[in-house]
Amino acid sequence: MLLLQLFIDGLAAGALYALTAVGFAIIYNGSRILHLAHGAVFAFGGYCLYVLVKLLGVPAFAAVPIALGATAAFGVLIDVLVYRPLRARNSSPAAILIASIGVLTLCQALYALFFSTDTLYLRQGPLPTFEFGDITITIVHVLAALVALVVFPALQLFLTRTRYGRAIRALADNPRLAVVRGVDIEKLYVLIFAVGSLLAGIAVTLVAFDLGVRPEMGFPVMFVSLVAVIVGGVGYLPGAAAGGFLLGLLQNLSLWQLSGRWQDVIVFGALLVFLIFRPQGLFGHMLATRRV
Amino acid sequence: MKTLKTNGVRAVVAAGALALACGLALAQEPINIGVALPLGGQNGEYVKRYFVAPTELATKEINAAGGILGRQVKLTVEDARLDGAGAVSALTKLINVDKIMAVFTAFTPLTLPQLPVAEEKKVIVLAASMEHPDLTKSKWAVRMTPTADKAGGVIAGAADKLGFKTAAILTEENEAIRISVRSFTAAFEKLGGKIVADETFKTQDTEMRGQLTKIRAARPDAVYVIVSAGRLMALALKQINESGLKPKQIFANHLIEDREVKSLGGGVSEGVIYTTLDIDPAYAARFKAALGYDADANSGKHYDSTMLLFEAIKRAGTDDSTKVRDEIYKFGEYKGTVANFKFEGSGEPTVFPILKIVKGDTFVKYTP
Repeated sequence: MLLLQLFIDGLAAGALYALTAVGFAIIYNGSRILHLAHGAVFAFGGYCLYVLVKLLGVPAFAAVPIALGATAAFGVLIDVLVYRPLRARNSSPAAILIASIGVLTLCQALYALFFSTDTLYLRQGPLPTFEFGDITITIVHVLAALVALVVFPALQLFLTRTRYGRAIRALADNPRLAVVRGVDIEKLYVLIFAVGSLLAGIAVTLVAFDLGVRPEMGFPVMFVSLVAVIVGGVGYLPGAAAGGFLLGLLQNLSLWQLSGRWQDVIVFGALLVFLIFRPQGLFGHMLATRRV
Repeated sequence: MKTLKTNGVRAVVAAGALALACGLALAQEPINIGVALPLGGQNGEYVKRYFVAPTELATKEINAAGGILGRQVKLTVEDARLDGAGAVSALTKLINVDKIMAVFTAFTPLTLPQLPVAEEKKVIVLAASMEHPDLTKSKWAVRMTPTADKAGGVIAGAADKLGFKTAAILTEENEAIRISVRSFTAAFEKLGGKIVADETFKTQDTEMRGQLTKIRAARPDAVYVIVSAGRLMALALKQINESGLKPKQIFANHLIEDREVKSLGGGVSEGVIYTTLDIDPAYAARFKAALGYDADANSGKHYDSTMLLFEAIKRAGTDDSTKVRDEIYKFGEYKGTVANFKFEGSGEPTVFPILKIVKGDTFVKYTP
């Protein structure tokens, strides 16, 4: 029973990691920007929900789509205001990475300034739970599973069956060829950042209603997402999702025999193992196959 | 000759006036004290409200009452950031620029690196709420709280009296907290109890469900939660509730009184028994009137440490840090807002935690 409960907890955590990791991966694959400010976008979504639900009294069912739209717009805004000028100046990837860290740090400081460093709760008390014998499942577990079941197939359809989705994949596969074929890259970047940030918004909706919002809430999620992308295979979106689930499961299942203090060792140990022994990640070979 | 004599008189008068002016200026110079605490990060808001604000309140009160020895007290607050290097840098600035004679600080990872600097520059370190026993190995340090090992013993005694045979521990990874855990484990096992699970999480963690799943599988009579921030206490209690873990009793430390636990709501803290110090109602009322929110035990400790310093300066008749430190160390009994502290030759007061229980929105003294 213990193992089954840890497995369920791991799947729920993995679903959240997978959402942010796929969002992160869409942006990285399309733009080659290591968008660490994705963590700031994640937290922005949480604060949008807090403002709408708690300060303005908007019902949750209406607040969620508004917050999702605002989160997507915020991601696009970071691209337009920060990355686009740097791209126009042919700045190095290192400069863009540092700018991204700057945006993350700045946003965290601004959130703390406007909302304090306290946890701001969107709802009172514990989550509703369902008990099946010794197994307990919270409503967030259920919603995370449902969201994963809906979002990932929908994203796959978007990327494979729509003109814009195919353009994003073309850009990710070969940016130079995409330019030659007349793809408006800047417009596509807007779409890439919007979709990636939207996924962060979906993940933070689940987190915010469960754990509340805090200025630095995006930082650990962003790091785990980065590891998930590397573990899953850089460049291959389903790999990022698989990497997210794998990390969620590893973190939780490790508790079966180890103390909680080992969780970071597990995550970053997995990262090192993959970087050294399988740098292409779990599914990196799939990308190579697709390109061939 | 007359001119020379006149000039001599003028020089003497001028020198006298200058000396008088210097003396007056010296008498009017403020007594400089400082705060070096982390004002940002996960606990920044808590630190500002319950560590910095009480010291500011005490300083404001003493200055409004005419100051000490006819001099006003000047308090300078520096952000110690979140690591030892930041804490040392903040203290160094306070010493070199603001010329402080005492610093108010907290947190083991920040305070222990500050101690060598404070010792070298002869600055009194008042780490009111720091529970790590090593603090008072320094001859310049003062605390206003029971050491970490005392709380564990008190909780073990209560668990035994309530008839619990097994207990699980859920704590944040923190050196001082592990000292509490060790003392609780030793005392509980000595009383015939058994620790069936001992799980930890990191300060930045938000998920404790995995650890709680393991604790639930061990089926303990009681669960003891020890953390260093209200946010973590709120999360732990919420997730205990959600995990299906239903111990006969939850024990905790004083962070159960934190406003983040209150703001989470949902009755998650109802019935929790915890260790704390008892806040003087008059102080609590004064604190709320001045700052607009409720005092907690930590705020009382920091207020008391500030007032103790002022009393010691009065007794010493000077703000010379060595003499003031000596006055604190031989202070004897100091009646504070959260306890009667007794200093007998060191910065380690004799003080023991009491038990309270959460009943609705109130915290009531508890005897098992």
